[in-house]
Amino acid sequence: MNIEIYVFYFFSVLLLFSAANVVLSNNAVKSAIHLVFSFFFSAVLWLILNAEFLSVILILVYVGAVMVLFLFVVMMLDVNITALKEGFVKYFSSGLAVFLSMAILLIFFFQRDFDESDKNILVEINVISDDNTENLGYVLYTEYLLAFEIAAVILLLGIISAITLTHRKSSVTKYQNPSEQIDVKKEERIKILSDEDLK
Amino acid sequence: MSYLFYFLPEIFILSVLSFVIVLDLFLKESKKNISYYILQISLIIVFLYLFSLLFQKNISNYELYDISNFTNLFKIFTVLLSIIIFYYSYSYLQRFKIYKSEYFIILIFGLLGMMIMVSANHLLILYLGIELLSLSLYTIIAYNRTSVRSSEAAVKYYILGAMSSGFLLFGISLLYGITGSLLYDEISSVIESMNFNNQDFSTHSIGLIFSLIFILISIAFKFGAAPFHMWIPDVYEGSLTPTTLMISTLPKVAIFVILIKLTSSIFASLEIYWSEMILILAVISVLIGNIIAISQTNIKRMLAYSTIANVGFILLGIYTGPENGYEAALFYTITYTLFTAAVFGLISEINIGDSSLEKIDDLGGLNQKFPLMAVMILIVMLSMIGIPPMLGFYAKFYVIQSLVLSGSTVLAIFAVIMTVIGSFYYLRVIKVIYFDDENTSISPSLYHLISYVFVLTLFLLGIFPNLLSTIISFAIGNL
Amino acid sequence: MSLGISALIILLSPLVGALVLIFYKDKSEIKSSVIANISIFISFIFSLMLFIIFLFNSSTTYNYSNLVWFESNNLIFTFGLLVDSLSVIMSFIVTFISMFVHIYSIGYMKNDKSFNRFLIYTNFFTFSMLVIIFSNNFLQLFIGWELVGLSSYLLIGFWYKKPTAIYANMKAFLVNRVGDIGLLLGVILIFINISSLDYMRFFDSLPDLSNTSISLGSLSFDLLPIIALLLFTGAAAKSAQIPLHFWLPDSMEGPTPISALIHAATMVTAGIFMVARLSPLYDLSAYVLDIILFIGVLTAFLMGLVALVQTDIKRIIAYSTISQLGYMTVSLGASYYSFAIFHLLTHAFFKALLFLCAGSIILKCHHEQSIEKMGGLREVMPYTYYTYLVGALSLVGFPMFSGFFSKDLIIDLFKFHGDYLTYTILISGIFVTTIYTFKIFFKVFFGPNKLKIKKTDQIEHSDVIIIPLLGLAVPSIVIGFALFDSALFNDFFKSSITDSGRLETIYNDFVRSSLSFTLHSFLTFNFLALVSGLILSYILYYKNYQIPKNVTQKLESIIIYVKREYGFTHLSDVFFPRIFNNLSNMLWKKTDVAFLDNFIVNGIANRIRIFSSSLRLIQTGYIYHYAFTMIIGLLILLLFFYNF
Repeated sequence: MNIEIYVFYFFSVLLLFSAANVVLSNNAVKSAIHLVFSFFFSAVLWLILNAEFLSVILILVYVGAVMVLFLFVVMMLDVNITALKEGFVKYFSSGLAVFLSMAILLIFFFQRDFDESDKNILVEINVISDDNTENLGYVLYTEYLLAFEIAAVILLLGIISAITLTHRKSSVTKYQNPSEQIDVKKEERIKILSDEDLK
Repeated sequence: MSYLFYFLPEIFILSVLSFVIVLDLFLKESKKNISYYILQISLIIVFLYLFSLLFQKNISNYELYDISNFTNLFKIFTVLLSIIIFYYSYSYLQRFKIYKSEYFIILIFGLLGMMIMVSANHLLILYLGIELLSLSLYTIIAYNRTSVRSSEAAVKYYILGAMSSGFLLFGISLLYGITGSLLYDEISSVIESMNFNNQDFSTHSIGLIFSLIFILISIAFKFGAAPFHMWIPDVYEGSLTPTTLMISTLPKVAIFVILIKLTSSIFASLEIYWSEMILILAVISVLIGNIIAISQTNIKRMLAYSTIANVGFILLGIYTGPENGYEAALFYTITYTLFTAAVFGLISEINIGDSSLEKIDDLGGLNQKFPLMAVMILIVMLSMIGIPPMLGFYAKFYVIQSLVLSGSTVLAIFAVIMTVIGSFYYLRVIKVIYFDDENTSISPSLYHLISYVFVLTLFLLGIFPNLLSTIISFAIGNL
Repeated sequence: MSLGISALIILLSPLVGALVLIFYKDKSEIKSSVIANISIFISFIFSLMLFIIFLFNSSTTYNYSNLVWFESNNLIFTFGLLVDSLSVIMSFIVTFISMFVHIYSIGYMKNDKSFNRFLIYTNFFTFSMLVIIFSNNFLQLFIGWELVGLSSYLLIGFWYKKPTAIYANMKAFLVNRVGDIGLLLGVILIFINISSLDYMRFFDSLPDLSNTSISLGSLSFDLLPIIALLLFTGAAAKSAQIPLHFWLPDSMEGPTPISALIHAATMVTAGIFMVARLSPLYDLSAYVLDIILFIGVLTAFLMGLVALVQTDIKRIIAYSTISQLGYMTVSLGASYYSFAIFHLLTHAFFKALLFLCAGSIILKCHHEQSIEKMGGLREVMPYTYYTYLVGALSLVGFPMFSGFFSKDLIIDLFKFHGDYLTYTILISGIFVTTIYTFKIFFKVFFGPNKLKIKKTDQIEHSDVIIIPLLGLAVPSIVIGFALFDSALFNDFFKSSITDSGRLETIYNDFVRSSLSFTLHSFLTFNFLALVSGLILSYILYYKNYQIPKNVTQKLESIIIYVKREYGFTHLSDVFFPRIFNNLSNMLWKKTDVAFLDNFIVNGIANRIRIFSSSLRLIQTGYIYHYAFTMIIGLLILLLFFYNF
């Protein structure tokens, strides 16, 4: 038990640090790398909570796939980070004030209300076995089948949206159409002008 | 297996959708409109099916999903309005030669999202429904890629929407942490057992209020209540007129239904808190909406602010509580939705030169050229103001009456004053149409029989307001 | 139930006709008039059917009041249908006359460019009138009341390019507004006291209300007489009773078929109908009945005198209408409501007939309306001649004609009750009526043919003009006799009007039967007055043309005084307009422009506009501003509700 607490605090501090760096870093690539780190640290936190499947998925999907794509985009676009940072100083103080008051409120709240409330989480997580993955799979395909299906619909919509927004026949692009080239007739290639046309 | 019947409309729509997605690939460019017709017909089928369900008692055994007559009526209304919206969108897209079947496919996804979120009895399903709707809205706003404004609006809405989703999830997770459930009924019974009437607050009250605030804010954002309204003017202005028509109508009703479902189930015992929160949002919305709308010159932006003001009115109705407030608020919502649909429909039918209508002044002298069109706009605008024989009058009347009955006379007076101020910008449209110099480049599309029939129906509904109010009391009775 | 459905068909058929005509693209006269006529004809057939049903069994009433129009907490407004003997007989009158007037209009309005518009208006008018007739609550009554007012306004000003027509319809509209305010106030008082507008609810709560009183400052009035008086104000304006009568003669600017339909037979009787419908109320409002009686007697006699000095054929008949409406009002004031309705019935037929005859004469005389310039038309238009004679005899109340049964009944009422002053005035009314009615008769049909109108091969006009004349002449002769014993004194109105007990008394003690009533009448002053009037007008206008001129010269000042309607013309055309002009000028310049416009309206509007343009700057367009606003909003709510 004790060692879990130390692990938790250690990785939480690291998570906060890297998350702050994502926002504060001057270099977009650095920001992205810090984001990778923060995903990784939160995966560790989930592991502590016995959610091993989710933590592995987090690393596989986000770190492995999403962030790589992200890095690609950042490198290709060459984002001017200093332009994005304009007004940082101007809004820093008010932002900080909001941040602090939010943080204090939430800390107060959790301090006061969640001290001993862990016993209120009634749901028995271990449905069929001790294996988190197995439990998750079971629940997903029984109780939460509807949610799972809807998630699938959302993904389908995501695909269609992406295609609709990006794929569009451009009128500027020049391309050959062989069948039309073959079908062409003599009359269409040459137009013979009479004298009257010239006048 | 028998559970499947509960989702029959949704499953049917999704199946048709999948079919159309594949079919569309194989259609020739000139034949793409077949997809539109298939979708439109499927909507009509769904409408008829839902309508037939209305006459039997529907009780879902599946606790995650609610198919009561209340949600069923909502679905009927949504599908019906969708058919009209589809018609307007199709005619608009064809006119400006930007038709793509994907437009309608994405709209149907949004419709599906709304049906799911309204039927949800479970916060996770609710969240997924909202996301499905939001995602389709983001895309549909960005549909007009040639316009910078359109993309900008989409990005703004996307980022702010992500923020509001974050709020919603945070609220839901707090609620889950406190009550240990995501089902509406279970949560509400747990909260009820916490004994709120007791002066000695249990330790969880703050947690509940926190979650209430987060969920409410997220809903207020989707609804467009001030101060979470900032996306509305930009999005309305940036997107195509039929898209605006869609955004300003259906999601509003869906969110309204969510709001009264949540306040009457999960948060029923927290009424003293949410009614105050809603009151704050309502007053700010009515104030900001009405006053800023006065200085707008773009008609869509003007209507965006009028939306905010109307949302404020709806919230005022909800504020007065379940007894008569819900009915008044629902009446207002339906009226607002119908007339907004009518006004955007009419706007989408008017061309200014080669582009669509943007500026209010461009309507100048519409009456001289197209008197029938002018009369239609006149009817709609008069109803928006709340002039007696129109439906809008009864909507405002019911809300103000429920305010008076609940003892908030000051608020009622405030609402009346705001209505007077609000009439200014609607009347200006009428003034421009009837008294300004003629704008020679106005040219309505050739065929707008549907608009006439639609507006005429609304007019008749206003003459016999009891038709609508009977349906609405039936709906609220089945809540 | 079938009663309700037939009533609904009667009610809606003219409306459907009007709507079809509005959207009907083909403006050909024949097709339009066929549509209009069919829709009215359907109404008429069903009215006739209902009327026959009620003749056999008059106690069946049908009251449907479940169509909720608008409902909200304690407010419920319903629409409904009340089908009883009163509404059935009224709908019979209205549809009967409307049908013949529609046929007549085909000929009369033949060359008018806006014939289609005319038919829309008349159909719409018929619908509005039926709304009043079949209403079972005050709301519907009021709506119908305003609708007939509107259609009358539109039809008086039908030839809207004629300045006199515009003046006349304005006048009619304004005078009716005065009455409408009275009616509306009455309806509001009822609603305040019983929070319902249903007739039956109102009648049921009358015993309670009779003890209620309203106080105005230190004064206190009984409620019911006040309501009755206010409602009668509306009735008086619509039925052209002194002092709100002066719009009716001017309304003759409209097309003649309209004068026959609206301003003689149907709309002007709406006031009489309403009082009869509310007979339980008027039974309980004692002194109001005396006022009504007084007004009725004044109107009946004085307006008859005015008719005597007019020369325009339509104006004479118009004043005669006012005078006859006065007789009906007299009967109401004596609380014999059924007699008023009976006179309304016979009057509708013969007065419509007289107007249509006048229209036929005017048409023949190329739109000349002065009877001084006409003459010798007996040979030229025999149909009109004979039908006019029928109408005239009925109007003066010659025994056995329809008008006799209804009018003499009203007059003899006062002999029966021993009110000899009223009796005398009304009998002199008969005398005057006879003179002016036969003045037209002799001047138009006898004497030299001044306008040199030739007799054509085709007897008079086309059939569409002749048929209505004949169609209306028949009931003008027989309907009084036909319905006297079998309906009026056979408890026809027992279920709808409260005077059946009084009716029984008078029938048993005085009338006995129609035949004895007729035979007896030859020995009364009524007949004497009639015959002497007949002889006098024969002498004056047929035999000797010198006497009127001499009389005119000698009595010039009196005649001018009568012509000005005893000063009412001055009051309505000069005095009131001037007062209102001055008042509104003052209000406009001092109050409106200086205070309301510049200070309140524009002042506040400008403030708000400035406020608005500064407030719109909140919307900066920067997304981080938007997000920031949201966070701030969240934070404020959290802080506001945080329970520290």
